[in-house]
Amino acid sequence: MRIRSRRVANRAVLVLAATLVVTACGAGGGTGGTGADDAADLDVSVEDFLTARGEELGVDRISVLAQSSPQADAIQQISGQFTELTGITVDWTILDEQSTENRAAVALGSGDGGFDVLQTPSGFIPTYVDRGWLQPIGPLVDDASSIVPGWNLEAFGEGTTSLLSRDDEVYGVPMFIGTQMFYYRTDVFEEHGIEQVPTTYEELVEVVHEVHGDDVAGIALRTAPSPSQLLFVWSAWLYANGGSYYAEYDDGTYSGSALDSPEAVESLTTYTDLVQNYAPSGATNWSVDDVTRAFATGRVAIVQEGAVFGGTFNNPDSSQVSGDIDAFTLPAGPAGSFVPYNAHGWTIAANSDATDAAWLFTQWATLAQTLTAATQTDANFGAPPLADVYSSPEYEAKYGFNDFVPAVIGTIDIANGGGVSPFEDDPNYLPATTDWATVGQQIAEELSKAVTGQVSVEEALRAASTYLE
Amino acid sequence: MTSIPRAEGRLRGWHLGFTFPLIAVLLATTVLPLAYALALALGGSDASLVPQAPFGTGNVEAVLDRGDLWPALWLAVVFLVGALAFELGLGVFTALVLDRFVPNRNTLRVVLLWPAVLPPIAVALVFKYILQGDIGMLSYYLGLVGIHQEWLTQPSSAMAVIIGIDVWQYTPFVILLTLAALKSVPEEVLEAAQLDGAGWIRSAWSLVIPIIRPAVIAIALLRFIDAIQVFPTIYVLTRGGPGSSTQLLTYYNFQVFFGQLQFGQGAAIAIFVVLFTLACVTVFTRIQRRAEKAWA
Repeated sequence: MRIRSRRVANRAVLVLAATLVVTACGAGGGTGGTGADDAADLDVSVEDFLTARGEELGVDRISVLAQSSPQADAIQQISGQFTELTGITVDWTILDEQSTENRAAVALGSGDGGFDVLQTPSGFIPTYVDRGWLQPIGPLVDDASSIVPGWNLEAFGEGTTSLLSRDDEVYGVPMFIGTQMFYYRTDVFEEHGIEQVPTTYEELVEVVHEVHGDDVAGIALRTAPSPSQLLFVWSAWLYANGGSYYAEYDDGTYSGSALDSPEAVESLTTYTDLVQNYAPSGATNWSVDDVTRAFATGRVAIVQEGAVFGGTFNNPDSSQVSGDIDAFTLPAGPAGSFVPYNAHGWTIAANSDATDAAWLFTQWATLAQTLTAATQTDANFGAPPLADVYSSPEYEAKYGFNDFVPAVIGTIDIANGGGVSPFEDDPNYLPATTDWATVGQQIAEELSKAVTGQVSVEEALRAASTYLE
Repeated sequence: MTSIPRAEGRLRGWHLGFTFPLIAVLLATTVLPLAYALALALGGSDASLVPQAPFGTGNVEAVLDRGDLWPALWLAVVFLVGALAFELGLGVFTALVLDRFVPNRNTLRVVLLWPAVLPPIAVALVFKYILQGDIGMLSYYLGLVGIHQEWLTQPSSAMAVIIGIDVWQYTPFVILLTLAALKSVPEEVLEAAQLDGAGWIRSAWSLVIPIIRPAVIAIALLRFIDAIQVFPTIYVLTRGGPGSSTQLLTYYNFQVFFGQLQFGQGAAIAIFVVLFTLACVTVFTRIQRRAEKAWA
């Protein structure tokens, strides 16, 4: 009797559990469509070339993997034009940042492919190239018969293309530049009688102290423990203060740790003090979404964020502070001005069986006319990789609030003037080592402990430094 | 009177036909992925998703040499002990009270069921907004009474939040299953105890809990198997931070595999998670058997 009762009870438990487990499953993803409403204003010669090349290649479709972002969303919106001209259908897979990285790793790492073209952040280039996952662009560029009239790799500038290179070989065509500037609330500055934007980090700290209040916090910065969050923002502060991650750089090789230097200690101390005492509550573990949301909802007076967010911040549909904002370039430190700088490129998978069609798409997607048209879509694509686009009247009309465009151009000037890396010949903002994904993550986690007050700045930097030795 | 024939030791003929779909599904969803992970872990490359010769223990040794595996395991243990202790303690106690004092529980069952069937990612997103900085609902109301707590930026409170959300979501599940188990307690035993003068607390402690102990251990096992896989809550709320204070074993596994793209080591960690889970399940089942024997 007892045993039977227990069996009944156990069975009831298992049946109920099985039911609940089955209902708790779920998955997500998405494939984009196409449309030609905002098509690029292409020259007739370009259109003729695309049509002829499309017929010549005889490829029905290519698959593209991209991050859900203004740059990819904008190109996807107008990619109907590419299909219309070439007859090549573009199958889009657009996922959030993390899912895209995971999907790319599985597709490329398995060698089975599935994607012809991938949106690849510059930080992944060393790893992807060293593993043989990407095709070099050089041989494709050298084939003059495959080049779309008016398209030129050199137009993107060496500073940008070198971010997508490995051992002097280019592996991606820039589709977006990721750089940063400071956005600020003009109404808050006026309220506190601040007329000049800060030009040095010392002035910046003073201004943050001045404008910080109960309703509107002084500043918000990325602090989440990740190379793309805390390290991406803080590194510009580190370099401007004369610090660096590695002690030496020679012909692509980094050596020795410099992360426990007095310059690094001072820089991280300043950063930590600001996010602990002059940022909204909880901002010591914030990522880009948290920072941009805080600024767009009016909770913060100053943020250091991507140039790509200018359109979003000044759009009344997505921001409560539109019309009351302006921007300035990152200030200077004792070692000068440095800016976070990375690029995302359209890369072609090494195992693609439609390389020529993928190459044709890559060129169309990075033509000046295509990029200009992309900036005019509702995706708020404000950070194209071509300087020509920034000086176009269309760009100025859509994004030209106050000093935003001069700030973007000023930021690119700093980057082109060597303000990306503390080492003269290094084009990379964060060290381009094959194991940076691991080492960068470990460093970010150690520094996060100081930012959240678990350990002292000195202890955190000392621990982080061991990963570089 | 016809007796049910004893199950034969081996499957034969049409028995095999009926069980083949189940075996095929099990092979495809359990054995093959496990074999693949093992091949990847023992493969000669850490950079390819295709297992590479020569096979060896290089990835396993690299994982064991990593300084961050053991802290991740320790954090997983802290989470499991914290979550299971609260869920079982609260769940069993509440079930006992409900069983004794709330006779009609049909509506209650539905109410108890819904937190457990909510997708964990949705629960995490809701809690993210409840707990966020100074605009989160909880932070706001606590702030009105002078309590300013940053939930997700301090290691101890971040871990407490991860445990708390698990407790919130799955304690009703434990209550529900315990209520089902309580149906097995013979009425005559309780009546006899009542006649002997035992009160509710004494009856619950000395009779009811020992009777349902094997079932409670089964519930604990189910919760353990589910809780060891905790991931969406961490992914949405803390991304393993602050620092690495909520980088539990499964999230750590994800970071190594997808964040650091170390496929061989990631697979080795996955095998480690499986072995750890199996070891714990073995312990649970032994305790359960002992409890069954003790009562029998």
